[in-house]
Amino acid sequence: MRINCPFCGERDLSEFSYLGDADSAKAIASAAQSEREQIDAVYLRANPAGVHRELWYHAFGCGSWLNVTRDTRTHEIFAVQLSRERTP
Amino acid sequence: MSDECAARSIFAAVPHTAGTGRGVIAIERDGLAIAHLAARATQLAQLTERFREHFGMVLPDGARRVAAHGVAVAGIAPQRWLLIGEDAGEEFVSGRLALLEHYAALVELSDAYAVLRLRGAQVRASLAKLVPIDLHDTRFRPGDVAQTVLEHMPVTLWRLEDAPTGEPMIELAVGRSFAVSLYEALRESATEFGFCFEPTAKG
Ligand SMILES: [Zn+2]
Repeated sequence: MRINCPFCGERDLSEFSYLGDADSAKAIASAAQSEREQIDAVYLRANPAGVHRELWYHAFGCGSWLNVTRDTRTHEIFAVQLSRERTP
Repeated sequence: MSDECAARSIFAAVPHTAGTGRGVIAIERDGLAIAHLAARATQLAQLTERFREHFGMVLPDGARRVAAHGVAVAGIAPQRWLLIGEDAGEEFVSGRLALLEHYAALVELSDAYAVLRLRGAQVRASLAKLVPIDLHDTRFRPGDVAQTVLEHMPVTLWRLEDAPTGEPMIELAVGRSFAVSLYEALRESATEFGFCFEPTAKG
């Protein structure tokens, strides 16, 4: 699998590390939440079989966090964007 | 004072040739002044303008390297650059670059890096065994910069203009504590083509 880093260009998987679901970050834990909601925000991540937006870190490249839209069944990648330029 | 304190090449104690021939020539780039520059989030336009005024170059907005008047600047990440001064001395960062500090975070890293220049007909063939990037003549062009990994070591590569002989020239920057490991990987990879090392080159 290769990821097309917006800064570095197309790079081998071995240069990246994987964090997981990019959209759970919306639900950042806060003191206003119930204990149940905090546990969900910290620990629960979607892990679908199909199209998924996820966070990858270009550890051995430019050091950017990337939002990658990928089909977890085929590894087909539909979009890659710098997390700093993230759109909702 | 004993010679223990004298400056000496980081490559002084390693073998300087391998195989037969000169397919790959490695040249130590000692005495460079090196700094990291990271634009402050809202100051990119001002930084770019000040840099252009004082250095006569536009900060690259991608993985490219430009050089003028003994200063080179390489884009290594979004809004981050590696600055390299040739024969610039210790005042490069505290002097010439200091005016950029209003617009950017500036870190002096001259002693943190070792830089090797590779030239020769087999530079690409040797590096192709070591890095997971495409080094083809048309994909890694003069002025291109790449950060990648070489035997688990983070490295930054850039391609210079070809030598007058038409041979490609690529420079590699690596954390100084990795320098000998990088050198040994290069030497081993280039053995089949003939490898030799030359001390510091100017320019
Ligand atoms: Zn990258």
